[in-house]
Amino acid sequence: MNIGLYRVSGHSMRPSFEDGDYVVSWRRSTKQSYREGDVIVLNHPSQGRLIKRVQSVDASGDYLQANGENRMSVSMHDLGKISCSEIVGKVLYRFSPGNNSIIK
Amino acid sequence: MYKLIEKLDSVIGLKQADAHCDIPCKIYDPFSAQLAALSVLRFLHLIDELEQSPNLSVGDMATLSRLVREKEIHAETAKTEVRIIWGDAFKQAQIDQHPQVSDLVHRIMQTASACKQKIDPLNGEKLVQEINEFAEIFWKTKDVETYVAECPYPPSVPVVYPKLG
Repeated sequence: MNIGLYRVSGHSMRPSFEDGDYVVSWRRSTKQSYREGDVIVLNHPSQGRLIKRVQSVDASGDYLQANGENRMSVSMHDLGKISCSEIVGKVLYRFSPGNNSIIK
Repeated sequence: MYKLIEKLDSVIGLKQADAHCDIPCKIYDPFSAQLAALSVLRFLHLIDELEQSPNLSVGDMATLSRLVREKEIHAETAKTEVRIIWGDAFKQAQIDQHPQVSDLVHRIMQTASACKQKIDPLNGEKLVQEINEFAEIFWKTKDVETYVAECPYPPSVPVVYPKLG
């Protein structure tokens, strides 16, 4: 399915996303690459389903690097190179108690 | 809208996107995985005892249902705990030191799944044994010696413990 609804668990995406927020993700077609600054949900091979922000994309657009928003997050080095096939989707919408927002 | 989704979540249980397990807290101990594996083996033994009974009462069936549920939950916990240590605590240096660990972790995943799928206590014994091996490797990466002792409670099987203090 291209669309996903997930509950955010934890604090490594603060202040952009709080523990308990809900996010809507949309899987992009292969023709649309992910860009620096996008927030993505991904299935990491060893760390499970994560929410992270894209920091850089390689020239081919097939791999990218991502990490959290603060120092509590695992480093990009530890997450390693993320293949676009591991990406569940780009986060488009955030639902928080009292504050819903579109994610650009 | 948030309240509505929260309600939906409480009913159907939405999937989670983690932003938490990656805090580098450095608190890792394989005993949570060992304890989960011991629980699985214990539940398998108790299921086996029920299997020997010629007639199951409604009470026995209720117990069986609880045992099966807990067996599956604890097998999944064992998988999760091992995955966290292998995925987060083990860096390339530790994997280079103990190259067999990735194959061992894969075997643990398979054995834990067999524990979920079946009721043979041998799978539970294998799970305890493999997670013991994993614990031994983990403590070696911390330069902590280990010893083997029978756990002082059922299922009373050998367990790898760290030699501390």
